Amino acid sequence: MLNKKAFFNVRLNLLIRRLVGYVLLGCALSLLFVNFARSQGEPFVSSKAVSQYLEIASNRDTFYIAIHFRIQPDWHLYWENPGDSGLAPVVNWGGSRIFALSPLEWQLPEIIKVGPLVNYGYSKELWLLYEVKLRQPVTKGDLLEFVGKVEYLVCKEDCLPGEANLSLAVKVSDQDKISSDYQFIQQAKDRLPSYFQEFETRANLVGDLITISITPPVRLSDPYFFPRDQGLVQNLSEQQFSIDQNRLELRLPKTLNFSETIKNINGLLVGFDHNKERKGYVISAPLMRSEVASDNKLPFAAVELSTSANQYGALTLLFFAFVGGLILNLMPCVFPVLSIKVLSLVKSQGVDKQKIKAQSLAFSLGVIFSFMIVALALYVARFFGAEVGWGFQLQSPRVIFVLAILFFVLALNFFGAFEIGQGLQNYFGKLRYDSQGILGSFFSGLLAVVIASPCSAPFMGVALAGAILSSPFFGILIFCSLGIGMSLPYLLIGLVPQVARFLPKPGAWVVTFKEFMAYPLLATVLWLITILHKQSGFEGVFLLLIAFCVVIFVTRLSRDAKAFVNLINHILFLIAVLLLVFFTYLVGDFSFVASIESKISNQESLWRQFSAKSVSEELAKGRSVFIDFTAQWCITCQVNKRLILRTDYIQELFLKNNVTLFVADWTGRDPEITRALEAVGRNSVPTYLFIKSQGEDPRLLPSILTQGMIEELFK
Amino acid sequence: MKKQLLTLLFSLLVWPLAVFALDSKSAVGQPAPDFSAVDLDGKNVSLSDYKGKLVVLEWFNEGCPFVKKHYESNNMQKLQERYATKGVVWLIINSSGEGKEGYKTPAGHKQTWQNWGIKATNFLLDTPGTIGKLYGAKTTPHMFIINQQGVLVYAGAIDSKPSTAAKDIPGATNYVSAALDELLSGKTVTVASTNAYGCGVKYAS
Repeated sequence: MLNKKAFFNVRLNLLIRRLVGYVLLGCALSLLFVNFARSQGEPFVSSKAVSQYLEIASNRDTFYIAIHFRIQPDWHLYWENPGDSGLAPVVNWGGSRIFALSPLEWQLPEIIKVGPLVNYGYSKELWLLYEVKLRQPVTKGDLLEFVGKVEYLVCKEDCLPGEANLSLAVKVSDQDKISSDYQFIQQAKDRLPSYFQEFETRANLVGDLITISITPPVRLSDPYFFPRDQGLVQNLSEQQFSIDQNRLELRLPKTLNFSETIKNINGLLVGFDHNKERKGYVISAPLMRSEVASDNKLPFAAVELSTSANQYGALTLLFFAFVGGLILNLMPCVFPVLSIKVLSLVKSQGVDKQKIKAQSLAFSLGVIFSFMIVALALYVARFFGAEVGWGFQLQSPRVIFVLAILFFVLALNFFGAFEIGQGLQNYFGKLRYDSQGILGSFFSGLLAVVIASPCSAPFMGVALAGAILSSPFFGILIFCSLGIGMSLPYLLIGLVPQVARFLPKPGAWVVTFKEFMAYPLLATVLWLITILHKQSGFEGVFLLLIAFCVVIFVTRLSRDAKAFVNLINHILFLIAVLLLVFFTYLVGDFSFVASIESKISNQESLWRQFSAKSVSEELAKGRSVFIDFTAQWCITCQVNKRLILRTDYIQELFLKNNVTLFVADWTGRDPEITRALEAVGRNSVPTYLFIKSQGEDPRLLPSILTQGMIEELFK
Repeated sequence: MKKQLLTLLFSLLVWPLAVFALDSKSAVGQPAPDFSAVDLDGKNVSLSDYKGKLVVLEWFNEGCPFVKKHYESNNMQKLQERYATKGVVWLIINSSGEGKEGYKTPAGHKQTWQNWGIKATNFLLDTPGTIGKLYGAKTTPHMFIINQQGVLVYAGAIDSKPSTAAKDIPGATNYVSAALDELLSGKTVTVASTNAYGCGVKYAS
């Protein structure tokens, strides 16, 4: 009985056990099946979490773990940017209070070409590395547990998704005990991309091409740039590059959907070193947008500045240009001539109102027309590759020479030394310079712009930079609105008769006023002489003084109207003009000597000659940098220089705060300075730039400086 | 005289503005190139047949896990159905080369159409890959939207979460439906271009 019962019990036991077994098996099978449904990639890729150490000593605070994938031949996994298609593996680790994991460190990817598409990924095997850092002290017997999950896409030509659970345990004991994977992880670590030490990386967008240059050239054969972000450059199986002794340069076509907001170019530069080993460098460079070929770029290139031109809307820029034009009227080099123009309008008050209207319109058109010519000249010059900005005319000593003579002639005229209407008219014959006529008004409009060119009003800087950096058509629009601003007072007088009524009545005082106005003109002449001195030295100034004598001689010619004397006068006048033309030609040749002189004199002071390279060097030394973009012909620059920048107090302030001072003298044409200005969104002087430390955003100071603004920099 | 001068001044101001308005660079914002292809019934279909309508182009490969994600979750069919009722034309294009993944006979594709309950307007065959390369289609799915004026107004991904897992769909921003909603209410597309994700299009060469 007992036996029977026992037997039955055993049978029951067995049955139950089997049942449980089947259920368990079924569950396991279904789990396996479910898992297989999600992880079809499993047959083609296997993954496993491994560690450098099986056991670590309790005083170790960091080591590496890895996920090791074995990939079947012809199949591949993807890099963090998979390229045209595909998907990078995604790993999720559970958190821990004992340790922290670094971000995933990717191995150098390979180029995988599939038809017309290019992918970035890995074949055969892949080690995904993580650095483990212990957050708190551990003691013997503690267990570090790593639990996570990886999801991946594995492709041959077809793609299969896969996933795997990861788990790994590392024990804390007396001493380190390396695992069998130690040396593989070590090798994978050695293959990780490195960071550039003494190389300077620059990225520049010119048209549809992104140029990445590395100076000095890194020694890599067959370099290839793997963009880390999608949508930067078109993924091509072969990329264009060039190496010379100065730099390695890659030229990559940007993508069609390249976003205007992209500020940085990030990725890897991979090639083969002298041992034919594959080597990669991390590239991270601010992207410069410029129409000029990349050369001597500044380290602070693509940073958006708070006051840069691009920030303003089109309408604001137009408004600035308009106001700038209006302010031009008050400049010392313009005011005399234009006030006389107003007076000539006043004189004709009694005359036909219709005539006044026509005259003021003709004058305004003359102003606008010549601004358009300036704009066109600017764009034509840029089209042919010249690097010019506002004030570019004044960079040529010949232009300064001619302007000085022009102002001198005007001053003489204001003093009453000769009358243009009577004297020069004889020589120009048919082309009557009649200051009262329509044509005369048009030409005085042209003249007004010529003499306004040395005076760059504060508002104009930003507006002009905006014009130059945007499309030519908008640029012309900007210049147009400058012209309208400048001619507004005359338009008002001409078109609104009520305004004219407010002007003073003409009388004898007009002659006195005119003579008085000659002095600002002479002052302008003196100022032009100082520029000429800087540009072409003493020889240039000497020639100018001779030219003045010639001019005085010419103004004394036209006294006698007898026929015979007149003929001699004609001949003498021609000779004088030819002499002036010859002098003007000569002046251009002196500029070289002067530029060397100015460089030497600059080095003597605290202010160093600007160059992009020395700026980068100073920043690398941990110093701050202040750059004074200036020119002899820029009045605002000179005022700022005398009243603020070169005062003992400010100089000392700079010294105390470890600032290296640079002066970028734009008096002559200097492409490097033009590019530097462009890099910060400006195209005119004065521009003041302060960079506190390497990597920090540069600060752009206003055009008119105060002591407080400089003090503010160090607060 | 005065009037003429004023006209001149005015035209000087307006003429550059007009040129300004035409300035554009990328493919999005350009007229969509016309194409014609054969559908599953052997009928010829051209893009120009749908002039004046909103057209969606969807690059398709039934073997691709990214495509499966959106069809097995019924996500794509729901989109097709919702916008069909609003008059949007939805064209599926298959650019798989012969013998490549996703290549099938018209009958095979019809089977897939039935199995998945596809609700698109039509299914076009592009075995030589001409249309795919014309539009720069890189992945399946790769989505394009052409507006009523025939201008390409969206190119890129279906949504914001590149993955093969259907669980990511609810949390993702669907760029295509966002763009279509904007277009249907007369607005311009905010996100007009994204990076497409998926399997590479299996071009014949």
